[in-house]
Amino acid sequence: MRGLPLGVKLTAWSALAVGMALLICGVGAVLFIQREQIEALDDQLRNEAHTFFGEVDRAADRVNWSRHSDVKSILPVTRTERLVRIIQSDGHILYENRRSHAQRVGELPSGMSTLDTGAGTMRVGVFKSGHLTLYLGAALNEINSDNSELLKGLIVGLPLLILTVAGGGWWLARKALAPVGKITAATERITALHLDQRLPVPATRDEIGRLALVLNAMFDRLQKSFHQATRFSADASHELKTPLTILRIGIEDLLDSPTLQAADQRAVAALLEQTRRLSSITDGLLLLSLADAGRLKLDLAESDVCDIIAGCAEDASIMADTRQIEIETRLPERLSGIVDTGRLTQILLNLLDNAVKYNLPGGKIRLSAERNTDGSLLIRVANTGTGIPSEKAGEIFSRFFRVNGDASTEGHGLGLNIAHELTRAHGGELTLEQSDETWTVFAVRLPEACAA
Amino acid sequence: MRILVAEDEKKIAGFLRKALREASYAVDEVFDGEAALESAISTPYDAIILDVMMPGRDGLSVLKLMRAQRIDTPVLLLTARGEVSERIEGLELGADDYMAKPFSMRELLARVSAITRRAAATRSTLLKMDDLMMNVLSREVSRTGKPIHLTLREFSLLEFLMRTPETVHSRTSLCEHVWDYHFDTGTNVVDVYIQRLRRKIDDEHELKLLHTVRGVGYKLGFPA
Repeated sequence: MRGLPLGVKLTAWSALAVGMALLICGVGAVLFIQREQIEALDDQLRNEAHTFFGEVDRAADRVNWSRHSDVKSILPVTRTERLVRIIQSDGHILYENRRSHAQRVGELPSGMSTLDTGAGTMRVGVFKSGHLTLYLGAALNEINSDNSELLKGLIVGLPLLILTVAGGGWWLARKALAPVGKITAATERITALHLDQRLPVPATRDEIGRLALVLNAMFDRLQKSFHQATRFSADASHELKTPLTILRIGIEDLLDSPTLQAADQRAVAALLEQTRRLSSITDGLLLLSLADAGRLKLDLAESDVCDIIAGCAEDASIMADTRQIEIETRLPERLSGIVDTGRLTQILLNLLDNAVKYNLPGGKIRLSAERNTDGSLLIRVANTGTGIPSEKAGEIFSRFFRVNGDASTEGHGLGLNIAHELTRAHGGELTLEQSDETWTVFAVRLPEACAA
Repeated sequence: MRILVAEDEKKIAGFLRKALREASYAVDEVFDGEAALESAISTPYDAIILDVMMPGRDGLSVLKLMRAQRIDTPVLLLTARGEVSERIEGLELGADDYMAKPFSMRELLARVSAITRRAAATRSTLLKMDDLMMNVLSREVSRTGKPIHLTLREFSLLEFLMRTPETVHSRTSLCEHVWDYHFDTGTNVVDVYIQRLRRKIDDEHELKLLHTVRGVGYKLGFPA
């Protein structure tokens, strides 16, 4: 139910509500009618009993209770046959027309009650007057069959009514939700690249109109902060890189200068190295600030992802060579995808760099790629090593995070975060799939849209 | 050779002027976009070093207007941002190369020398350097008729070097052009590939073709 469109839900709920109401009313009506009918029957039986006792008083002397025809002559004449039983106060049965029910009838208390005879139900009244007790019963079959007709009608009519209500509800829901659909479509069009666009505001000042106004106001604020973020990253690039450039070429110039003392050369070279490091961090941070602002543009083109991975594996084998780490690739023949080759390479190299750094000498790195049944691409980078402590697994994608918590390992602690953001820019996801004392496995999942 | 430097940051412009003059180029300087466009149109330079972010008219716009006026002087773009989209835009507008700040002066000199020699980059599918042959389509390489087996990267590297014979390329330039890496790999990947390539194409031969140019990078060509 949770994933269904609102229109379907509204229709379903209204049909359900109407159905329930109709069912309750219908069943209530049937029960009410049945009760009324039984009460009418009870009244009739009482009247008949009253008439009978009147007749008995009047003809008491000339009735011979043992003569069937005599008794019959004073019994009330009715449309349907009644169950009749007349007993004297000493228990002697004066008259009885249905012996088969004798025992159960005899047990009835005085007043009206319903008796199941096995062949249908009966309403039986027990009336006392003087020394006589009269049992008078009428079959309920007719009333019951009337009611079952009514129930049948309800069973056939209810679904039809529900269908009608559902149809009406669907039409109404669609009509009411159409502006919401329009707003959704328009909102989807307003992405980071078209933040200057606004939603069309309906002429009506109802909830939908207000929604459009509120969303537009939100887009205004969003555009402003987006603008500031982008502006910041452009300004920061310029402001940071100008001094970095001057530093770098200045130090290089100094290194080349014939007047530089040999003793100072190492110190100046170290300065140059730090400048490079600073540039690399600056690049990383600017890239992340672009990603944060949603302005990271990809240069998408169809390429064979296997080629990209194979190339990265080749590069990694160079990084891994000095530590005798073995690199194994498991790739299909071809896996075409629409990706930014440079950025995907950067993702993979960042992962491979860690896979080498945190590996044990003589360890292994395993690279694999496959297409999932849902069309997405899955690339795994696995390495042997001591693994990431489980309490730190949640933090590994945060900026400047290092497993060892100090700067003892080279790098600047942005690699995983950058790989994470670049994967996200592709609409994909980078996750730590496994990390224990045997293998640490990172998975890059690229969505179906990246599959060519 | 005469070079125009369009860079609004005076200190950087100063270093550029000094280094280019030491490399015996004649250098003219401008500090904004309008002046850059004017000079590019009025003077036939051998190359232009154009900063993207300048007051007035930005570098990309200067490049666009220049190319629209059929001024096809080689252009090396300098940019602070180094965004992929900006690099692609620059190359599509007709820039010959592109460098992100902070750059190394040696590398800049190598690239300036490369773009002033543009004729080399041909799109031929059969490449030849002395007795070293490459068929780009069938991906076959041989020297003195003897086939050489190269890996994916080694092949791309050799193809790039063979397309630009006698041109010195820095490590960063190779990284960008061959690997398409526009980020710092922080490794000696390029040197290792060059060593491997050298082992495969030069080791058994008297005449060496792949040379190290100290402090700058590598080139494919005949010994100096």
